[in-house]
Amino acid sequence: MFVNAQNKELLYGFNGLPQAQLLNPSQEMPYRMHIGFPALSNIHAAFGTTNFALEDLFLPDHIPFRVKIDRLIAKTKNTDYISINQRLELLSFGFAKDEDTYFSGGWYEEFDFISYMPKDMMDLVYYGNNPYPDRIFKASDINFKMELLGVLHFGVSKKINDNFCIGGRFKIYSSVLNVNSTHNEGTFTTIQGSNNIYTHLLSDTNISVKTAGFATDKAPNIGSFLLGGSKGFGVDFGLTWHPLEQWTVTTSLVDLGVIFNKKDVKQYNVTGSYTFTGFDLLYPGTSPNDYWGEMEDQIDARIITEDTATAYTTWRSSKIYSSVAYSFGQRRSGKCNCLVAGSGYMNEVGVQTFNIFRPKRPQYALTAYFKHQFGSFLTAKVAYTYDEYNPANLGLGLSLKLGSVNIYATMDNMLELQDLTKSKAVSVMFGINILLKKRELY
Amino acid sequence: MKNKISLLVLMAVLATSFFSCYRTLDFDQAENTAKPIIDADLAYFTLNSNHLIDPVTSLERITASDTTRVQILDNTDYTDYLIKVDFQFKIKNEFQRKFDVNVRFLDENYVPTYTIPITAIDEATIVSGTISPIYRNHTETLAIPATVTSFKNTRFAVVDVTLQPDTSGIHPISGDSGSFNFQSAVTLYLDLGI
Repeated sequence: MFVNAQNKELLYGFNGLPQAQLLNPSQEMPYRMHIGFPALSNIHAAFGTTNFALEDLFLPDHIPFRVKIDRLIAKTKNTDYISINQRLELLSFGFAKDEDTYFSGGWYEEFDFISYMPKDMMDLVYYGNNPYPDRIFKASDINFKMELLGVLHFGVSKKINDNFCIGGRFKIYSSVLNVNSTHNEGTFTTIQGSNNIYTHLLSDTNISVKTAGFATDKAPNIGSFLLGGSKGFGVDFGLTWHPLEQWTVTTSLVDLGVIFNKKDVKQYNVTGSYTFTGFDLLYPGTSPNDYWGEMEDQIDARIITEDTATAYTTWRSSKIYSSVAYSFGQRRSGKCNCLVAGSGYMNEVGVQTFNIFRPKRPQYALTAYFKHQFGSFLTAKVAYTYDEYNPANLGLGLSLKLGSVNIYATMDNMLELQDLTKSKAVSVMFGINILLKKRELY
Repeated sequence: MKNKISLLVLMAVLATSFFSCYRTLDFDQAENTAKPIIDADLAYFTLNSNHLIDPVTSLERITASDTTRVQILDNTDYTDYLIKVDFQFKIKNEFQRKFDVNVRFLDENYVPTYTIPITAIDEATIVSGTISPIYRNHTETLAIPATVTSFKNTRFAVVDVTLQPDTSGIHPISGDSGSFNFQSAVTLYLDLGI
């Protein structure tokens, strides 16, 4: 759940789904061609928080709302976060050049948001500094980023021999909107003073909020997602290895990429330090001092606030997948009690790992799964995922093939369907493809 | 046959997943419940005997005053949420004379919005040649809504230090090596749910 937004663990390694190649470019495709239904081939949405569910705040339980907020703030840590991820695939296609080579490409729109809980700022704004003498409130708790972009991609999966398959994908990013406020520095604290009752210290502040795409009156259009936004590029790599028959080992690196935010950029920066101990009255007798004005001048001189139109670079959150799987159970024909040639194995069990590089630190997940093929028309994958924050994420993925039409869907956190108000995360995916000319891979 | 049984089990699981449940939620209870309490320094000073002697006449200055603007209450974005104010004063008197202190808050037309008298601050004593200062801590609370509303109009703060007469005649300020130290802070109580 903690990494639910981007860990598409049910889709990863799902043989026969072309969208799985976006998670591992070396994913083997058992078809000679695929075309995704425009704007319907991959619709994905995920939302997750690490520290609260709707029931924590909105159950009609007669507990005062302030008490609920107090409890929520008390249990919040600065490593908690909210994340939202959404993807809409607009175009998807692929074809086999020969028995060993499969090309694929497409265009999709993606929205990704993550915000860590600014614990210190929450306490300071909600409770003030009075309950916290000597506490150091850190600006580094302010840590969030958001991006809305279009991605054009083209990749290839290449079988080197019967055991190895490698893949790569090149991506062109077109960033439509971007907000980035990470790596902030600075502290605020109130301590017992010597000159006056308190001393208020704002120290080594370096806070920035970078935006791109907002400093304009023009609303984004479809062209913005094509090549009309701030440009960037990225690559995916993948490897599939069969060390033994029935065993598969995979690994992939996805979205190793950078975006050069140059369009409609605006950066807001606050830097500096300032110590406030009140107004030192000098009792000049006849000539009054403008103490307030002097304080304002000092603040202006020591705390620099500026907004600039400076371009900036952002790195995408790269992901690393890996898996080990064992396939078993060849299909037997009901007519002759013999194995059906070229049917492959009906079952697969495996373990997957997932890592994503986020602003504060990498996040991870571990998945165990079982996949079963029902005849030639339905494949189901059941996965149990463990991560730092959710020990019981049970997910289900289904892929149905009716003639050439493939419909698939995945859903995480099935156990929480019993009561969605308790759920801290939701993740669903749906898509429709046309898959043509099934082929044997080995 | 095995496949059919497996398929039936899968259909049962799927059917279950479509009947998700949720308890009724009440979103109307959401409100802004933040009630921050903010401590902030006000004014401080140290007076020595020179501050209490008129440089022209060399006579004792009965009252020394200084004024500062207080713009922070000019910001209606948060002063609308101000519900209570506490003042803290810490005074240390090393003079062998009594003092009164008057803290006056004035609006933009110099009309008083609130006044805090701190009277009869005792004189320090000399013990074995060492000054034994007098400490006075004073707190004041504004909680009555009408008083708080009036206080929100504050734009100036004036601190008057009044030297009480030297009734004994043997403790003139001139030549007194002591000092008068004043420290102050305010605690603002806000209710953002108002």
